[in-house]
Amino acid sequence: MQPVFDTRPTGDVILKLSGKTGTFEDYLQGKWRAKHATNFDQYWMDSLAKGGIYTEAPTRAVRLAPSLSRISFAAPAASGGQDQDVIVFPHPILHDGRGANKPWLQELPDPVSKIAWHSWVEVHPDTAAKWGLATGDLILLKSSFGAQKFPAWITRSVRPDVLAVPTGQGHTAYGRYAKDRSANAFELLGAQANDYGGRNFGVRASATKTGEHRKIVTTEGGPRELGLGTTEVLPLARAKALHPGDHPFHFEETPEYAKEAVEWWGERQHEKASIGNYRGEHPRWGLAIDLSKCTGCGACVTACYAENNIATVGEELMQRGRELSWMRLERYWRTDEHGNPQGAVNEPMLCQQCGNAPCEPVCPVYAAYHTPDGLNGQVYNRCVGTRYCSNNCPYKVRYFNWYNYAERGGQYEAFPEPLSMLLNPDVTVREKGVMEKCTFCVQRIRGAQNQARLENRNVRDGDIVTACAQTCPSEAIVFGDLNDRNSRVFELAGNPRGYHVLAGLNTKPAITYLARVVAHETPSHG
Amino acid sequence: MAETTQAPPPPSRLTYDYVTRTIARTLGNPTRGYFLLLGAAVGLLALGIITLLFLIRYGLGLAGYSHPVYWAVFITCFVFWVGIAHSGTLISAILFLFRSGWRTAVYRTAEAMTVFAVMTAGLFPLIHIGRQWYFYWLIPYPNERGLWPNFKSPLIWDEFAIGTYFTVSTVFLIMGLIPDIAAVRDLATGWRKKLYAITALGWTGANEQWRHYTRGYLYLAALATPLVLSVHSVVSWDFAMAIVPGWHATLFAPYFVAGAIYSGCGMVITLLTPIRKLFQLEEVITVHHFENLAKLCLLTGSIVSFSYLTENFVAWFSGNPAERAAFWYRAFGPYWWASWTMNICNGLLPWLLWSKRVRTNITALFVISIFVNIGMWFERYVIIVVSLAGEPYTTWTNAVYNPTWADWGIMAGSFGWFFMWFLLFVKNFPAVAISEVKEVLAAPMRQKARAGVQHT
Repeated sequence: MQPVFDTRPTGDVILKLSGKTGTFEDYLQGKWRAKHATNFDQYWMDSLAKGGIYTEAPTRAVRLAPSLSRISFAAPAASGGQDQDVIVFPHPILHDGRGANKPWLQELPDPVSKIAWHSWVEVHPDTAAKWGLATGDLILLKSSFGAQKFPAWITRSVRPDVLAVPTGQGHTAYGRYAKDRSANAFELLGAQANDYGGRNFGVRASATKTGEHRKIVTTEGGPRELGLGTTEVLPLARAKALHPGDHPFHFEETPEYAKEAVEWWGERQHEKASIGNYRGEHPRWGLAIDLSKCTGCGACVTACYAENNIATVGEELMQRGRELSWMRLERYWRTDEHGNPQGAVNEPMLCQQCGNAPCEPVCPVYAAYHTPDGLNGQVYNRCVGTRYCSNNCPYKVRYFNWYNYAERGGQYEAFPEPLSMLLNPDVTVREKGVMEKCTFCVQRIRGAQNQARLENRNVRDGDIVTACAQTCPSEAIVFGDLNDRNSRVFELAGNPRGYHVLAGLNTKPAITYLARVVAHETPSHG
Repeated sequence: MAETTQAPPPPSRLTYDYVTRTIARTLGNPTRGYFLLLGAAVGLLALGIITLLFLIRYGLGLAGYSHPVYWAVFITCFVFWVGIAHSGTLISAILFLFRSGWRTAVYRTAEAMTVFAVMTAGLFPLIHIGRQWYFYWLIPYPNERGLWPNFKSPLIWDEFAIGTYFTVSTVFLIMGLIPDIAAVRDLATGWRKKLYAITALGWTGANEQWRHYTRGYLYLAALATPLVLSVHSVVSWDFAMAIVPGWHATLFAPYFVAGAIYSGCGMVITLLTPIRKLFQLEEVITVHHFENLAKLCLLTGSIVSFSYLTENFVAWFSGNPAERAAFWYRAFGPYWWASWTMNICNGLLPWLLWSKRVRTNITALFVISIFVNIGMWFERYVIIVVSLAGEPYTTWTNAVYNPTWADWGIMAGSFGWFFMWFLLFVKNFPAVAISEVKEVLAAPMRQKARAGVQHT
């Protein structure tokens, strides 16, 4: 790759500083050649392929320290008095703050709080009621080391006697996306090392209500689903008893008298996609998403941003619900009869590529259309922006370009130099006024199909991997052809844990979710 | 052709000549008050145009939209104005076919209102789309792009419904104007005389012309009548064809048509009250006319209230959790205030009209009509915004929507645009149908007509 700016590799800089000539590559190869003069080129290529030079290390005996048994794991008692116990925890996405200057990471909501672009303090509802707090009220936390203001996020995921604050924000420098954003939790902590050589992340601090308020930037709308079959969970005992061919989940099926009409309508939707060049057999692309494997980390969301040139809209617009995350993670609480959370179900929600899509017939200009291989295509250049498709989408996975996010120097510019180099050349950068959505990374599908055609073969299972499936660390997402009886996705789609979201609406989604397996039944989930 | 038995007993002063002169007087030189009103209307329009330019330059993000509320104030205004347009054709065409004599005094105003309201409504689909400069992609005509609109989309049906309605109601308005323009042509002087000479299309009032005219008018009335029912039915299908709970109901077509006529009659009362006062038409447009409009409001308002009850009942009775959740959210969610404004203005307020004292009190009717307008605007707001904001299928995305200055700017502009046309019309063309009012008067005897001249 050509240097992006007037730069040179670190090695070259060091060589230059030390008064040597030549490039670092030559220098390095020279040094290794001295050790491996025989057949050096082969040795060099092999090492590059392996990614390093590895040798077997001698084994060593290791034992646990005898003092280990004396460590107590009992929950510490909350200390009384005016001060609060505050736990500072690493932000799951920005970590200690090193990710804070990346708009992709800033715009990715926290897996639990679903808050993006700023930090917060987690307060139990009982504590909030005692202090008269509402979500978004700013609290001043003052420890003996420093003081910072955080907006309250009221949640049952923290104990009543503890406040919790994430790290990651409040930089005073570091870059345009990180600087002067929210508050830095490290300010509350002391600098001394603790007994184990680390830092204490628990601290005692006074909490004062400031009277100030800010709107929380969250993607959370309603945290409960209404039992319409958006998320499904199975207790372990029931999951174990499932056999292939079982259908443990029930949904309201189309009544007999309407079946014919509904089928007819569904087929009419595909008429145009099966004439001319499109005649014949086609794949039916599908995804399987295993909710038992999904941790809610959000890597798929950012992968989707990267692959599909999705604009980050920033704090102000995200607060107004204008983020464009084609893939979003919905976090529904499972609760017991007292409303206490018994864990969460994380559900990646993206376009379901319905076989009988509500979005398609309502588009007046055919911008939303059905491809022969079963995708709900979206022609950005054809879209005039009536937004009817989104209104008619029960999954609400269509997103509108309210501004021109790619405009040079615009107020909401998403790709200022040099971030424009992130853009994927295979994908259109959308202009203002058009609708956009997930297309199962159609550019990758077409790329793989073209490659297969060049090699005079069929597309094999695994040739195509969508960005979300590629990135998922727990391999919860699997992509493939549902018409291929040997594909992984076909096998998973037939899993008895499988269900379609809102199956009762007769949209015939291409995504099969596999229910989350939980230890015990809870009276309410989602 | 209209029956005289239905008309109020005309006061002695109300003669053919008196009618012509009284109505022609409304066209005289504009007063300062008129210019102030016109200036206000043009000012509002300018505000709307500036807002639109901002929207085109920067994007629809300036308005309050948020996921998943992708239709909001603009579509609310669209349906509101289409609704307003309905009573015009009802009064001019349907009541004409039913031979209701009382319509003669008010139908011109209602018809003009119809045309200008459709002109206003028609702007909103253009304003609200994301890429306004490509609006013509929605129009079916053979083009170099080789592309054709999707006739399955209710938005395309809308285009035809509104287009047809606009064409027919405009022709109907112009047709009815011809004899009246001829009447004022004979009184006018200066540039107006030239204007009316052209627009009267050579009308002389010959028997032959009257014969053709009445035939033609009758046919047009018959043609326009089904449109009263079809247009708003089609507009309602924008919603009823979608799967959004709160939209997806077979009730929508009759419910919307009744609502449209209700709001239209409300707007006619709102407009007639000041016109009657300003132009001193008390003897031509009488309390009797207002009472009849109020009765129409009562009838259609009751249908609307019944529809509200039906909607809520069906949501409960169906046992469908999504429907139930949608209507619960509507009544008790964050938009409870909008829903209850709608319920009170449209559901309870018409009940006042059972009282004859209220029906014959023009001040009371004027106040009620304002609330009818507000209530009907909120009805559309509730149906559109609230159904989307609390969409129960994907509760995760539920979000509260708040309009911004851009929404209000465009809405103000639409009122400016409507009133600008309306004010220009009433000053330049007879706002009351001269020829038809005369039809419901006693035929003049030679002596009486002379007496009339002496009086004025």
